[in-house]
Amino acid sequence: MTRRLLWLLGLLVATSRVTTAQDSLPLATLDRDVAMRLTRIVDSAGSRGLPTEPIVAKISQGVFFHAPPDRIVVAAQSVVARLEEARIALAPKPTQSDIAAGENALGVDGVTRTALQAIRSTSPNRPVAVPLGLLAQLVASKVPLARATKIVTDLIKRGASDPQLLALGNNVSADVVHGAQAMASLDVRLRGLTAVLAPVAGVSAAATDPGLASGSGPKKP
Amino acid sequence: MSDAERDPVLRRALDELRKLPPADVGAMRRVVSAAAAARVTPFDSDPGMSSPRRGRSVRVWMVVGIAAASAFVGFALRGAWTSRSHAASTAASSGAPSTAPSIVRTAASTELDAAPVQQPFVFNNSRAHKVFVVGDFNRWDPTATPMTRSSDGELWSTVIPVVPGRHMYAFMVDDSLFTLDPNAPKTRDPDLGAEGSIIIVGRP
Repeated sequence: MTRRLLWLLGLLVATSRVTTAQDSLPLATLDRDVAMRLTRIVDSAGSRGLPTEPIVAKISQGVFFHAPPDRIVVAAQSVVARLEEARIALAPKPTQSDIAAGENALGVDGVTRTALQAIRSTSPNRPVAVPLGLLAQLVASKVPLARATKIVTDLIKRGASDPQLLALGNNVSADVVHGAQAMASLDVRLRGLTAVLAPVAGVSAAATDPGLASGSGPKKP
Repeated sequence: MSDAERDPVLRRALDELRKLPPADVGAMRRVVSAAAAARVTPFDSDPGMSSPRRGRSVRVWMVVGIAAASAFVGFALRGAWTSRSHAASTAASSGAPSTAPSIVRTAASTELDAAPVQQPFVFNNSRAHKVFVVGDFNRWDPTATPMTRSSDGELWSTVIPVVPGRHMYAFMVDDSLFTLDPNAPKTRDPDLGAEGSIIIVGRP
Protein backbone atom coordinates (compact mmCIF):
# COMPACT_ATOMS: atom_id res chain seq x y z
CA MET A 1 0.00 0.00 0.00
CA THR A 2 2.71 2.41 1.09
CA ARG A 3 4.88 1.38 -1.82
CA ARG A 4 2.04 2.00 -4.25
CA LEU A 5 1.40 5.39 -2.68
CA LEU A 6 5.06 6.33 -2.98
CA TRP A 7 5.10 5.17 -6.60
CA LEU A 8 2.07 7.32 -7.39
CA LEU A 9 3.63 10.27 -5.59
CA GLY A 10 6.85 9.83 -7.56
CA LEU A 11 4.92 9.66 -10.80
CA LEU A 12 3.01 12.80 -9.88
CA VAL A 13 6.20 14.72 -9.08
CA ALA A 14 7.93 13.52 -12.26
CA THR A 15 4.91 14.40 -14.41
CA SER A 16 4.51 17.83 -12.89
CA ARG A 17 8.21 18.54 -13.41
CA VAL A 18 8.10 17.64 -17.10
CA THR A 19 4.86 19.53 -17.54
CA THR A 20 6.33 22.62 -15.89
CA ALA A 21 9.44 22.54 -18.06
CA GLN A 22 7.45 22.08 -21.23
CA ASP A 23 4.91 24.73 -20.31
CA SER A 24 7.67 27.27 -19.87
CA LEU A 25 9.05 26.62 -23.34
CA PRO A 26 7.52 28.06 -26.51
CA LEU A 27 7.49 24.67 -28.20
CA ALA A 28 4.22 24.92 -30.08
CA THR A 29 5.80 26.11 -33.31
CA LEU A 30 8.66 23.61 -33.24
CA ASP A 31 8.59 20.03 -34.43
CA ARG A 32 8.48 17.22 -31.92
CA ASP A 33 12.14 16.23 -32.22
CA VAL A 34 13.45 19.77 -31.72
CA ALA A 35 11.00 20.33 -28.87
CA MET A 36 12.26 17.20 -27.12
CA ARG A 37 15.89 18.18 -27.62
CA LEU A 38 15.25 21.63 -26.18
CA THR A 39 13.30 20.21 -23.25
CA ARG A 40 16.19 17.86 -22.49
CA ILE A 41 18.68 20.74 -22.62
CA VAL A 42 16.63 22.81 -20.18
CA ASP A 43 15.93 19.89 -17.84
CA SER A 44 19.55 18.79 -17.86
CA ALA A 45 20.77 22.29 -17.02
CA GLY A 46 18.19 22.61 -14.25
CA SER A 47 19.17 19.29 -12.75
CA ARG A 48 22.78 20.50 -12.62
CA GLY A 49 21.74 23.56 -10.65
CA LEU A 50 22.10 26.07 -13.47
CA PRO A 51 19.51 28.83 -13.90
CA THR A 52 17.17 27.82 -16.72
CA GLU A 53 15.63 31.21 -17.38
CA PRO A 54 18.43 32.40 -19.71
CA ILE A 55 18.07 29.19 -21.74
CA VAL A 56 14.30 29.53 -21.97
CA ALA A 57 14.69 33.21 -22.90
CA LYS A 58 17.15 32.28 -25.66
CA ILE A 59 14.82 29.61 -27.05
CA SER A 60 11.94 32.10 -26.91
CA GLN A 61 14.08 34.66 -28.70
CA GLY A 62 14.87 32.12 -31.43
CA VAL A 63 11.18 31.35 -31.86
CA PHE A 64 10.33 35.06 -31.86
CA PHE A 65 12.85 35.74 -34.64
CA HIS A 66 11.84 32.59 -36.57
CA ALA A 67 15.38 31.23 -36.36
CA PRO A 68 15.99 27.81 -37.91
CA PRO A 69 15.29 25.06 -35.33
CA ASP A 70 18.82 23.68 -35.40
CA ARG A 71 20.19 27.13 -34.75
CA ILE A 72 17.90 27.48 -31.73
CA VAL A 73 19.22 24.19 -30.37
CA VAL A 74 22.82 25.31 -30.87
CA ALA A 75 22.02 28.67 -29.26
CA ALA A 76 20.50 26.93 -26.23
CA GLN A 77 23.57 24.71 -25.93
CA SER A 78 25.83 27.76 -26.14
CA VAL A 79 23.93 29.42 -23.31
CA VAL A 80 24.34 26.30 -21.18
CA ALA A 81 28.08 26.26 -21.89
CA ARG A 82 28.39 29.92 -20.88
CA LEU A 83 26.31 29.33 -17.75
CA GLU A 84 28.69 26.52 -16.76
CA GLU A 85 31.70 28.73 -17.41
CA ALA A 86 30.18 31.61 -15.46
CA ARG A 87 29.40 29.38 -12.51
CA ILE A 88 33.03 28.22 -12.40
CA ALA A 89 34.36 31.75 -12.76
CA LEU A 90 32.10 33.13 -10.05
CA ALA A 91 32.74 30.32 -7.55
CA PRO A 92 32.46 29.44 -4.74
CA LYS A 93 28.84 30.46 -4.13
CA PRO A 94 27.39 32.36 -7.06
CA THR A 95 23.69 33.17 -6.95
CA GLN A 96 21.46 32.25 -9.87
CA SER A 97 21.34 35.90 -10.96
CA ASP A 98 25.15 36.12 -10.75
CA ILE A 99 25.47 33.10 -13.03
CA ALA A 100 22.91 34.55 -15.44
CA ALA A 101 24.75 37.89 -15.50
CA GLY A 102 28.06 36.07 -16.02
CA GLU A 103 26.55 34.17 -18.92
CA ASN A 104 25.34 37.41 -20.46
CA ALA A 105 28.77 39.00 -20.06
CA LEU A 106 30.53 36.00 -21.59
CA GLY A 107 28.22 36.39 -24.59
CA VAL A 108 29.87 39.74 -25.37
CA ASP A 109 32.75 39.29 -27.74
CA GLY A 110 36.01 39.68 -25.81
CA VAL A 111 34.78 39.11 -22.25
CA THR A 112 36.62 36.21 -20.63
CA ARG A 113 36.31 33.96 -17.61
CA THR A 114 39.36 35.69 -16.13
CA ALA A 115 37.56 39.02 -16.16
CA LEU A 116 34.63 37.48 -14.32
CA GLN A 117 37.00 35.98 -11.77
CA ALA A 118 38.62 39.39 -11.23
CA ILE A 119 35.25 40.95 -10.45
CA ARG A 120 34.23 38.09 -8.19
CA SER A 121 37.48 38.25 -6.22
CA THR A 122 37.00 42.00 -5.79
CA SER A 123 33.41 41.54 -4.63
CA PRO A 124 33.25 38.06 -3.05
CA ASN A 125 30.17 38.55 -0.88
CA ARG A 126 27.97 40.78 -2.99
CA PRO A 127 25.80 40.17 -6.05
CA VAL A 128 27.78 41.01 -9.17
CA ALA A 129 24.99 41.28 -11.74
CA VAL A 130 25.38 45.06 -12.10
CA PRO A 131 29.23 45.11 -12.16
CA LEU A 132 29.17 42.34 -14.76
CA GLY A 133 26.56 44.24 -16.75
CA LEU A 134 28.77 47.32 -16.69
CA LEU A 135 31.82 45.31 -17.71
CA ALA A 136 29.92 43.72 -20.59
CA GLN A 137 28.55 47.05 -21.76
CA LEU A 138 31.94 48.77 -21.64
CA VAL A 139 33.51 45.98 -23.66
CA ALA A 140 30.59 46.00 -26.07
CA SER A 141 31.22 49.76 -26.45
CA LYS A 142 34.79 48.96 -27.60
CA VAL A 143 36.57 49.64 -24.31
CA PRO A 144 39.45 47.12 -24.17
CA LEU A 145 38.73 44.24 -21.79
CA ALA A 146 41.73 44.77 -19.51
CA ARG A 147 40.91 48.44 -19.11
CA ALA A 148 37.21 47.82 -18.57
CA THR A 149 37.97 45.14 -15.96
CA LYS A 150 40.36 47.44 -14.11
CA ILE A 151 37.89 50.30 -14.13
CA VAL A 152 35.10 48.14 -12.73
CA THR A 153 37.24 46.44 -10.07
CA ASP A 154 38.80 49.74 -8.97
CA LEU A 155 35.38 51.35 -8.70
CA ILE A 156 34.18 48.45 -6.54
CA LYS A 157 37.26 48.76 -4.33
CA ARG A 158 36.60 52.44 -3.94
CA GLY A 159 33.11 51.70 -2.73
CA ALA A 160 31.06 52.57 -5.78
CA SER A 161 27.50 51.38 -5.24
CA ASP A 162 25.44 49.43 -7.74
CA PRO A 163 23.37 52.52 -8.61
CA GLN A 164 26.59 54.43 -9.32
CA LEU A 165 27.92 51.65 -11.54
CA LEU A 166 24.54 51.43 -13.19
CA ALA A 167 24.47 55.16 -13.88
CA LEU A 168 27.99 55.05 -15.31
CA GLY A 169 27.12 52.23 -17.69
CA ASN A 170 23.86 53.73 -18.87
CA ASN A 171 25.31 57.25 -19.18
CA VAL A 172 28.21 56.04 -21.29
CA SER A 173 25.76 54.04 -23.38
CA ALA A 174 23.55 57.10 -23.87
CA ASP A 175 26.57 59.22 -24.86
CA VAL A 176 27.62 56.60 -27.40
CA VAL A 177 24.10 56.47 -28.81
CA HIS A 178 24.27 60.24 -29.29
CA GLY A 179 27.53 60.03 -31.16
CA ALA A 180 30.25 60.23 -28.52
CA GLN A 181 33.28 57.95 -28.47
CA ALA A 182 33.02 55.40 -25.66
CA MET A 183 36.46 56.24 -24.25
CA ALA A 184 35.85 59.98 -24.30
CA SER A 185 32.49 59.54 -22.60
CA LEU A 186 34.07 57.21 -20.06
CA ASP A 187 36.70 59.83 -19.19
CA VAL A 188 34.08 62.45 -18.48
CA ARG A 189 31.67 60.17 -16.65
CA LEU A 190 34.45 58.65 -14.53
CA ARG A 191 35.61 62.08 -13.41
CA GLY A 192 32.12 62.84 -12.21
CA LEU A 193 31.81 59.54 -10.39
CA THR A 194 35.22 59.45 -8.74
CA ALA A 195 34.78 62.98 -7.48
CA VAL A 196 32.24 61.61 -5.02
CA LEU A 197 34.10 58.40 -4.14
CA ALA A 198 36.49 58.26 -1.24
CA PRO A 199 40.07 57.38 -2.16
CA VAL A 200 41.19 54.02 -0.81
CA ALA A 201 44.80 53.24 0.01
CA GLY A 202 46.32 50.64 -2.27
CA VAL A 203 43.83 51.21 -5.07
CA SER A 204 45.15 52.96 -8.11
CA ALA A 205 43.09 56.00 -8.94
CA ALA A 206 41.75 54.44 -12.09
CA ALA A 207 38.70 56.54 -12.28
CA THR A 208 40.41 59.81 -11.42
CA ASP A 209 43.05 59.20 -14.01
CA PRO A 210 41.66 60.24 -17.36
CA GLY A 211 44.58 58.55 -19.00
CA LEU A 212 43.47 55.19 -17.72
CA ALA A 213 40.21 55.44 -19.56
CA SER A 214 41.52 57.10 -22.66
CA GLY A 215 44.86 55.35 -22.79
CA SER A 216 46.61 58.64 -23.47
CA GLY A 217 47.74 59.56 -19.98
CA PRO A 218 50.91 58.75 -18.09
CA LYS A 219 51.49 55.11 -17.30
CA LYS A 220 51.06 53.91 -13.74
CA PRO A 221 53.96 52.07 -12.15
CA MET B 1 15.13 12.40 37.45
CA SER B 2 12.12 12.21 35.14
CA ASP B 3 10.69 9.08 33.55
CA ALA B 4 12.10 10.09 30.25
CA GLU B 5 15.58 10.41 31.68
CA ARG B 6 15.39 7.01 33.44
CA ASP B 7 14.87 5.22 30.13
CA PRO B 8 18.39 4.47 28.84
CA VAL B 9 17.51 4.88 25.20
CA LEU B 10 15.63 8.11 25.76
CA ARG B 11 18.50 9.29 27.93
CA ARG B 12 20.89 8.75 25.04
CA ALA B 13 18.59 10.74 22.79
CA LEU B 14 18.44 13.50 25.38
CA ASP B 15 22.22 13.46 25.66
CA GLU B 16 22.41 13.93 21.91
CA LEU B 17 19.97 16.81 22.12
CA ARG B 18 22.02 18.46 24.86
CA LYS B 19 25.07 18.53 22.58
CA LEU B 20 23.29 20.80 20.12
CA PRO B 21 23.88 24.56 20.00
CA PRO B 22 21.60 26.34 22.45
CA ALA B 23 19.21 27.66 19.84
CA ASP B 24 15.43 27.32 20.12
CA VAL B 25 15.48 25.47 23.40
CA GLY B 26 11.71 25.78 23.57
CA ALA B 27 11.30 23.70 20.43
CA MET B 28 13.56 20.99 21.84
CA ARG B 29 11.63 20.95 25.10
CA ARG B 30 8.41 20.57 23.19
CA VAL B 31 9.83 17.62 21.22
CA VAL B 32 11.08 15.88 24.36
CA SER B 33 7.87 16.55 26.30
CA ALA B 34 5.73 15.28 23.45
CA ALA B 35 7.87 12.18 23.15
CA ALA B 36 7.73 11.51 26.89
CA ALA B 37 3.98 12.02 26.95
CA ALA B 38 3.51 9.71 24.01
CA ARG B 39 5.59 6.90 25.51
CA VAL B 40 3.78 3.59 25.35
CA THR B 41 4.20 1.14 28.20
CA PRO B 42 2.82 -2.35 28.74
CA PHE B 43 0.40 -0.81 31.23
CA ASP B 44 -1.38 1.36 28.76
CA SER B 45 -5.04 0.68 28.57
CA ASP B 46 -5.18 0.53 24.78
CA PRO B 47 -5.69 -3.16 24.00
CA GLY B 48 -3.81 -2.78 20.78
CA MET B 49 -0.80 -1.65 22.76
CA SER B 50 -1.11 -4.11 25.60
CA SER B 51 1.53 -6.48 24.35
CA PRO B 52 4.94 -5.60 25.80
CA ARG B 53 6.51 -6.57 22.53
CA ARG B 54 4.24 -4.20 20.65
CA GLY B 55 4.84 -1.46 23.21
CA ARG B 56 8.55 -1.88 22.91
CA SER B 57 8.35 -1.75 19.14
CA VAL B 58 6.41 1.49 19.27
CA ARG B 59 8.83 2.89 21.82
CA VAL B 60 11.78 1.97 19.63
CA TRP B 61 10.15 3.74 16.70
CA MET B 62 9.45 6.71 18.95
CA VAL B 63 13.10 6.85 19.92
CA VAL B 64 14.14 6.51 16.31
CA GLY B 65 11.80 9.38 15.54
CA ILE B 66 13.27 11.51 18.30
CA ALA B 67 16.79 10.65 17.17
CA ALA B 68 15.89 11.57 13.58
CA ALA B 69 14.27 14.80 14.73
CA SER B 70 17.26 15.64 16.89
CA ALA B 71 19.63 14.85 14.05
CA PHE B 72 17.60 17.07 11.72
CA VAL B 73 17.47 19.91 14.22
CA GLY B 74 21.15 19.42 14.90
CA PHE B 75 22.14 19.55 11.26
CA ALA B 76 19.93 22.55 10.65
CA LEU B 77 21.33 24.44 13.61
CA ARG B 78 24.87 23.35 12.89
CA GLY B 79 24.51 24.42 9.25
CA ALA B 80 23.14 27.78 10.27
CA TRP B 81 25.87 28.12 12.84
CA THR B 82 28.61 27.09 10.41
CA SER B 83 27.43 29.43 7.65
CA ARG B 84 27.12 32.22 10.16
CA SER B 85 30.65 31.56 11.40
CA HIS B 86 31.88 31.37 7.81
CA ALA B 87 30.19 34.67 6.97
CA ALA B 88 31.64 36.21 10.09
CA SER B 89 35.14 35.02 9.28
CA THR B 90 34.81 36.16 5.68
CA ALA B 91 33.58 39.55 6.79
CA ALA B 92 36.42 39.75 9.28
CA SER B 93 39.01 38.83 6.67
CA SER B 94 37.66 41.47 4.31
CA GLY B 95 38.00 44.08 6.97
CA ALA B 96 34.29 44.52 7.55
CA PRO B 97 32.86 44.53 11.06
CA SER B 98 32.00 41.00 12.10
CA THR B 99 28.98 41.75 14.22
CA ALA B 100 25.84 39.70 13.84
CA PRO B 101 23.71 42.62 12.61
CA SER B 102 26.11 43.25 9.74
CA ILE B 103 25.86 39.60 8.70
CA VAL B 104 22.10 39.76 8.75
CA ARG B 105 22.20 43.00 6.83
CA THR B 106 24.52 41.50 4.18
CA ALA B 107 22.26 38.49 3.70
CA ALA B 108 19.18 40.68 3.48
CA SER B 109 20.79 43.12 1.07
CA THR B 110 22.04 40.25 -1.10
CA GLU B 111 18.50 38.95 -1.50
CA LEU B 112 17.25 42.46 -2.10
CA ASP B 113 19.90 43.19 -4.72
CA ALA B 114 18.97 40.08 -6.69
CA ALA B 115 15.24 40.78 -6.58
CA PRO B 116 13.49 42.23 -9.65
CA VAL B 117 13.51 46.00 -10.01
CA GLN B 118 10.63 48.07 -11.34
CA GLN B 119 12.11 49.21 -14.64
CA PRO B 120 10.44 51.87 -16.79
CA PHE B 121 10.49 51.67 -20.58
CA VAL B 122 9.57 54.67 -22.69
CA PHE B 123 9.09 54.84 -26.44
CA ASN B 124 8.32 57.89 -28.58
CA ASN B 125 5.91 57.21 -31.42
CA SER B 126 2.83 59.33 -32.00
CA ARG B 127 1.60 57.32 -35.00
CA ALA B 128 1.49 53.89 -33.37
CA HIS B 129 -1.83 52.36 -32.39
CA LYS B 130 -0.37 49.91 -29.93
CA VAL B 131 3.12 49.20 -28.65
CA PHE B 132 4.50 46.28 -26.68
CA VAL B 133 7.94 45.87 -25.17
CA VAL B 134 9.63 42.51 -25.79
CA GLY B 135 12.87 41.21 -24.35
CA ASP B 136 14.62 38.44 -22.52
CA PHE B 137 12.85 39.56 -19.32
CA ASN B 138 9.45 38.57 -20.74
CA ARG B 139 10.74 35.74 -22.91
CA TRP B 140 10.21 37.74 -26.07
CA ASP B 141 6.47 37.39 -25.72
CA PRO B 142 4.99 40.02 -28.08
CA THR B 143 1.74 40.16 -26.14
CA ALA B 144 3.03 40.06 -22.57
CA THR B 145 3.86 43.70 -21.89
CA PRO B 146 1.63 46.35 -23.47
CA MET B 147 2.70 49.98 -23.18
CA THR B 148 0.37 52.82 -22.25
CA ARG B 149 0.00 55.92 -24.38
CA SER B 150 0.52 59.29 -22.71
CA SER B 151 -2.29 61.83 -22.69
CA ASP B 152 -0.60 63.93 -25.39
CA GLY B 153 -0.30 60.84 -27.60
CA GLU B 154 3.47 61.11 -28.08
CA LEU B 155 4.96 58.70 -25.59
CA TRP B 156 4.35 55.08 -24.77
CA SER B 157 5.49 53.79 -21.42
CA THR B 158 5.35 50.86 -19.05
CA VAL B 159 7.01 49.81 -15.82
CA ILE B 160 7.77 46.12 -15.31
CA PRO B 161 9.82 44.02 -12.89
CA VAL B 162 13.21 43.08 -14.33
CA VAL B 163 16.03 41.28 -12.52
CA PRO B 164 19.28 43.26 -12.20
CA GLY B 165 21.73 42.75 -15.04
CA ARG B 166 22.17 43.50 -18.71
CA HIS B 167 19.14 42.87 -20.88
CA MET B 168 18.24 42.88 -24.55
CA TYR B 169 14.90 44.25 -25.68
CA ALA B 170 12.94 46.00 -28.43
CA PHE B 171 9.48 47.41 -29.13
CA MET B 172 6.74 45.80 -31.18
CA VAL B 173 4.71 48.51 -32.92
CA ASP B 174 1.22 47.67 -34.18
CA ASP B 175 1.84 43.93 -33.81
CA SER B 176 4.35 43.68 -36.61
CA LEU B 177 7.04 46.34 -36.63
CA PHE B 178 10.08 45.31 -34.64
CA THR B 179 11.73 48.56 -33.53
CA LEU B 180 14.90 49.17 -31.54
CA ASP B 181 15.02 51.83 -28.83
CA PRO B 182 16.61 54.92 -30.42
CA ASN B 183 17.82 56.04 -26.99
CA ALA B 184 19.66 52.87 -26.06
CA PRO B 185 22.77 51.15 -27.39
CA LYS B 186 22.11 48.26 -29.71
CA THR B 187 23.82 44.93 -29.90
CA ARG B 188 23.78 41.78 -31.96
CA ASP B 189 22.85 38.57 -30.20
CA PRO B 190 25.91 36.30 -30.07
CA ASP B 191 23.95 33.13 -30.83
CA LEU B 192 21.12 34.13 -33.14
CA GLY B 193 22.54 37.23 -34.78
CA ALA B 194 19.42 39.29 -34.14
CA GLU B 195 19.74 42.92 -33.16
CA GLY B 196 18.30 44.36 -29.99
CA SER B 197 18.57 47.32 -27.66
CA ILE B 198 20.52 46.99 -24.42
CA ILE B 199 19.77 48.18 -20.94
CA ILE B 200 21.59 47.60 -17.66
CA VAL B 201 19.11 47.19 -14.83
CA GLY B 202 19.87 47.63 -11.16
CA ARG B 203 18.45 48.98 -7.97
CA PRO B 204 18.21 52.79 -8.24
